[in-house]
Amino acid sequence: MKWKTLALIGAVSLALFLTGCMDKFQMKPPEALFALRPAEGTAPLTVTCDGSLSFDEDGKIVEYIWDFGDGSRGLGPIVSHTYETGGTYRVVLEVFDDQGLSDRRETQVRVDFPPPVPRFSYTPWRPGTGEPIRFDATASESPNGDIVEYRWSFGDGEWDTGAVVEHRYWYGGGYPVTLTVIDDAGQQATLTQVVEIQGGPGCYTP
Amino acid sequence: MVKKTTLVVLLLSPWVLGATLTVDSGAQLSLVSLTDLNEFISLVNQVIAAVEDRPDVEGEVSPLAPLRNGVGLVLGEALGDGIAFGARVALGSWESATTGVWTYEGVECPVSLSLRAELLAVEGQLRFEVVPGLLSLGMAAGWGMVNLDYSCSFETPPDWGLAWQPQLMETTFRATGPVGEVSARVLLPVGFGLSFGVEAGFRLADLGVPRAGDTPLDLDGNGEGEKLELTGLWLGICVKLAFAL
Repeated sequence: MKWKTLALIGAVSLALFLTGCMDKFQMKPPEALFALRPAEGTAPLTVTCDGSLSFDEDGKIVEYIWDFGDGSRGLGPIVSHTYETGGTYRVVLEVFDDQGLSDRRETQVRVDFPPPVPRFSYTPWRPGTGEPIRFDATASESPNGDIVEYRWSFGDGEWDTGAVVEHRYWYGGGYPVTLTVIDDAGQQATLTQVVEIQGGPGCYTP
Repeated sequence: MVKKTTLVVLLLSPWVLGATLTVDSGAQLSLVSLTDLNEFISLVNQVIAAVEDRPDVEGEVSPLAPLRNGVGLVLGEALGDGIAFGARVALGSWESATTGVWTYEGVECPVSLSLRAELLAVEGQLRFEVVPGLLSLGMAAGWGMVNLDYSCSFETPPDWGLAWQPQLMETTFRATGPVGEVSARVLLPVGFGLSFGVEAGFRLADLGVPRAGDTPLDLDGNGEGEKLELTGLWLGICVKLAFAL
């Protein structure tokens, strides 16, 4: 009886020990970890992707594969990538260790669209009261594509829309003419110029 | 109910009468690996190291120590001579924590992270006296419950996009499962049924992935969950009292 009990305890001990140690002999995959600097900004945005934070407990990392989320890829622990246009991009790093095991991690980069550039000119150069003035904003441009809306505020309470518009002032003085352009990415920008109207009473005090 | 109890007492009385009741208690040092949690700790330490490497960040946050050594208590009783049966309760605790403040461009980024695992195991035990009064071997099996208290407040400089950061929360995750252990105990009798001794054992605790409600423990966010592997060796000192019934 005693020896049977002893044998039972011995067998259970061995089984417990082997079961408990099983995990210790298993190979561990690496851990992918990286930082982006900066993680957001305005296009064109150059981002440094630092994957050197990745590690492997029981080996070493031999390969770093990046997917920048805009159709391009990169290799290496530290890489730089430039996002030319705005958007939210998913950056994925996949690392492989010397045992062929892998891990991946992802995060997002937010790239803001740059604003459009409003420009306008007007003719005649020194307009008089009642004289039709032609405002032309066709020189405006956007790095995001086309400008889809032009809004004019003439400084006398009147407003209009369109790339080229005409307006008359009935009193002399300086009027702040404001152009707001909106591009097809939804970005907008504003430009103000003061137009001096010859003749008649002044109505604008800067 | 009274009849059943009387019957059990009558049936057991020939065996119980004249037997020895031992009560023992001890303190333990548990050596476990907690692989999954230690991988999480390595991730946290990498983030801490990366932030501290930045020249524009001031302040210091100490890295987390790996969860390996825990302390515990055990209380048991057994009835019988030579071969004794009984029950035991074991408690264990493992803890790692860090705290500090980083300053980035005049803005303070406080950091506080703590992990604390506590095990309660209730087991039936069988002890076998190899050398009566001096050396005994034991095995125990039962049910265990572990609580993992996780508390994290972790701010990093805002201009830096880290692909991973520890989750900001204060939660207790819980798991239950079978536990078992084997042990060897060497005692030094000092008289009046009192003995002091040392013991060593190996505990197997298959408790799976703890949960907080429906949420599994997944601190590294890889979707696989972290198991609490409290399997490992333990060493202890103990006091035993023996009573002849």
